Amino acid sequence: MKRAFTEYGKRRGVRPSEGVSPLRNVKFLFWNLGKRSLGVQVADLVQEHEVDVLVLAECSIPIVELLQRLNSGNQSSALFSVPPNPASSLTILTRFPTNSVKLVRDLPGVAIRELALPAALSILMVGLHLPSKLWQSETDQALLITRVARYIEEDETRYGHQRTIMFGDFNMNPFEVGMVAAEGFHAVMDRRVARKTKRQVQGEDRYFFYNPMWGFLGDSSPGPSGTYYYDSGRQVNYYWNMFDQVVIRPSLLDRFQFGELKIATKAGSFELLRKNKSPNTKAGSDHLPLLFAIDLEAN
Amino acid sequence: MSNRNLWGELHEEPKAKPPVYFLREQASVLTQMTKGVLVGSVDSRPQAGVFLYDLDITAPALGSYTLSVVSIRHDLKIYPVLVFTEDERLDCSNEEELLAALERVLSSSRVRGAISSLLALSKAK
Repeated sequence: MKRAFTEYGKRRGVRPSEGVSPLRNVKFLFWNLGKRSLGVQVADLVQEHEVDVLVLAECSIPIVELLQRLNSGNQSSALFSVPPNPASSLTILTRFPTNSVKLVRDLPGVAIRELALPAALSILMVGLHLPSKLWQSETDQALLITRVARYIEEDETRYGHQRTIMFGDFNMNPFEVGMVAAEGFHAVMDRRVARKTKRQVQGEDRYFFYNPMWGFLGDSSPGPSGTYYYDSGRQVNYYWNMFDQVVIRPSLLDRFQFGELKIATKAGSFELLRKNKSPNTKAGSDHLPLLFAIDLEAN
Repeated sequence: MSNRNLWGELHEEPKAKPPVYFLREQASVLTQMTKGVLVGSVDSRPQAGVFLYDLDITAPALGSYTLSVVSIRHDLKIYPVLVFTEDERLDCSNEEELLAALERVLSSSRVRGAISSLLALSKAK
């Protein structure tokens, strides 16, 4: 039995559970493609996981080819289209009407958009591809992150809420200074801490993000130990890094679908990991894809 | 009893224009060229002795969408100035190099493409 259609068009196809609003489980996929031709793999992931919002970094696939792959096959689903994106190096596509993804701000490696669906909770969506440490000093990185954090707060003030979700290739691990510092993204590992919303540092309110990616570090959790594998050969060598992350403001904690947060290791029939469990750069990218979902149904 | 001067003789204000002057100038030029459809502005964020400025383009018709086009950074010495975008970093030792770097960035196909898109989107509203 087909599910009810929303007022803005067709949604994903038949689902076992009837009457569940698609807004309860708005699905995102972020993947740094490393400039590889992974159109088939992207389309497979999108179809398998019923992705609604797709954000790609280092995408060299022509947009027409990407749209054709995404929109072929299952015709009962809403088609992907490209919202206005005048300047970001990130590639953003969505099944939602393009006017529901509104421009807020672009700065190098950062795209801030408002996702405002009809009859749904609006959120600020921050897509990131921050520069690699290979191309910048620690000072550069610290200054950039501070700028980004301040811009996010400015936009939150402008939009009158802190329903912000930030995701992408941070080129940093969850424990690095830029991720945890109060002047940086201030992303903590514990929901109870994040629910405090903010703390005062040197007389200023500094707002928390919650970072669920801490729970994916290492091999004691299901799935791969990170999203990017690099044997640096140096004294400090993590091998696995969690560069691709999603962090959320505490106001979205109750809407984030923690069970849907995944680091994908397969895209259709393509294995994205080799037998030794490092990323399979022949079938995929040097980064693994990140999938997550959020409930945007207006109460 | 007169106060003792321990500062020595202070130098006059340097004749060279500070780098932010050129960003503000180009922000104003863009606003005039687009007749206010796009508004140029400079955002400054001094931090711990580092002077950081962003040249932004805002599209009022698009909910004040803001695009940071180029940034410059220098310390108290002023030069060298670092001009940087998402794709490149240009070290500029003097005003001449700074102007050349800014021209390269602002007249690049990436920036011109972004401006064209913003103008079209703004006028479609």
